[in-house]
Amino acid sequence: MTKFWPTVAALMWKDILLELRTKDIVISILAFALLSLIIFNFALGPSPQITPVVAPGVLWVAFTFAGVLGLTRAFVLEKDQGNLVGLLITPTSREAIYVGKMLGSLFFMLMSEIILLPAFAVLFNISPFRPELLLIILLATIGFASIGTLFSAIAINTRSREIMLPMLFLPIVVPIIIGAVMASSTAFEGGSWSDMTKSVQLIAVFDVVALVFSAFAFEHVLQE
Amino acid sequence: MKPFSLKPLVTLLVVSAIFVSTAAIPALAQQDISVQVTNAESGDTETNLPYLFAVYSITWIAFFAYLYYMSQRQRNLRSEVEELRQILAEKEGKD
Amino acid sequence: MSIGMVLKNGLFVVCATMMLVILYLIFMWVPTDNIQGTVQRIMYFHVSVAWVAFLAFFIVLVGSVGYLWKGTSKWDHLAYSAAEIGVLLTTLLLITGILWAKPIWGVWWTWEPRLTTSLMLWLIYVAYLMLRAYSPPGNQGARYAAVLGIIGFIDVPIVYYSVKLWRTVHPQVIVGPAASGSLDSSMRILLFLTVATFTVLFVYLLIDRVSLRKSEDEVEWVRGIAEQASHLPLSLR
Repeated sequence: MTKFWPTVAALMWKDILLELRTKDIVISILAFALLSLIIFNFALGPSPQITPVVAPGVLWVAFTFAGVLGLTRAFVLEKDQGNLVGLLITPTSREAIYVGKMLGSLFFMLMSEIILLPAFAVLFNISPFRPELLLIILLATIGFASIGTLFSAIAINTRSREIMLPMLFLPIVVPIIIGAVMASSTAFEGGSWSDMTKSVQLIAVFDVVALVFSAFAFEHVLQE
Repeated sequence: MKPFSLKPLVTLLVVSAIFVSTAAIPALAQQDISVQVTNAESGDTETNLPYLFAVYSITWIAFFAYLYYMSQRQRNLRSEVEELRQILAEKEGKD
Repeated sequence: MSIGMVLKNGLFVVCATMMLVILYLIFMWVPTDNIQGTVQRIMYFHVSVAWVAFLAFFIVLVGSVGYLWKGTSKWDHLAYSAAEIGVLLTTLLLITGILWAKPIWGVWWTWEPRLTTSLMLWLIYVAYLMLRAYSPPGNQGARYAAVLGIIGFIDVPIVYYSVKLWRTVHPQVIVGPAASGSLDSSMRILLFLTVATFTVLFVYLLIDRVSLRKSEDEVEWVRGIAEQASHLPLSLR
């Protein structure tokens, strides 16, 4: 068995290199999320009373749906070009493949989210650059990436992959979204850490369960 | 050099994750202070009977529909077995 | 009649009897709630369906773990059948909840934690059934569904504890580890009885569905052999 972390790093690097060439994932995430932010902002009207109330919800809707788009692409190349078979033939552990893909997706999602934050600040007149919010975004995205990578590997083998992935992913990550929206709302109001411990705990516990479960279940998903 | 085996570590992580999450949820539950009371409208106790009727009839219909659905599948299965039996009989007739 | 048939018919009779008994008790015996009025009697069906749905999804979990572990198809049959009945039950849960909410809260629906997470529970297991339908033929579908069947169960404790975790207008939990609400003793007894009745009904439906699925599997297998023997794809129906 080849070593774990070098394999993970190699897989991540491969995905990043591919992405640098095609810019497929990041562009689709960014375009969709930016459009969502603009359309929501437009639809909800310019009223200064409503905007701070809906801002956390809109932010997380944009992140979630854009994240689904990014995750849909995670295994497309693997499946359509046959890389997956190649990967499985090599003596890599299944967990390493999972962690590699998951960290790759995590990286792309985080990059896109960070690029989106200034747009959000402009459209909603709220500064998202607080450490609390950034940590919430990190934690929630870890949850999305961990469960999303698993479901993406499942969905890619089904008949209508574009429908199956959101169908599988969204109901399961609702606790993360609820926690993230509540915590973001507190963060925007200037609340401190102690005000949002419950939501952050919810996200953190969910992350742990999702990560461990997905790593474990991934090998069952990869078998032909 | 013995390759680094991940399985025992993952098992340990799974067990501790399950323990943490099942312990965490009731712990989180303790922190909430709100006990909301439903603000029900009383008034005339007979006015809401249609809802009660709807609930019970829909429940019954749903279960009967499911039983019917199962018997339909059973029927299809039986006819499929019959057809298979015929085809095998034909095959034996030819050989 | 084989012993299995006798037991199954016996179960059906027991279930029907219990159903008649609780119907009588619900409408003739138990006192009327003085806050909500007659409509409160919905509670017996609503709460029972909830509990049995949780049980169904727990059995999906058991079947899924069993299938991933042992690989024999009987575990898969168990998981699928329990998921199907669980979706039926959760649909009823949502519908009875909606019909109870309108007279009591004045709205059909509200996005509060209990309702939201219950809706998500419904969606998770609907996705389970969709996944089975859209998967490639063979064992893959069963394996994918087993993975979903395991992680999907995480929503059940979330639904159960949602009334404690967050501010909610939904009534407090009455039974189980999170119990804090109070209920008249006769209502409590009847509630347990109704839960028991629905559990018996569930067991009956589950046994029926599992054996149906097993038969369908076997016929599928026979058809495969027949196709091979005749060297032609058979177009039946």
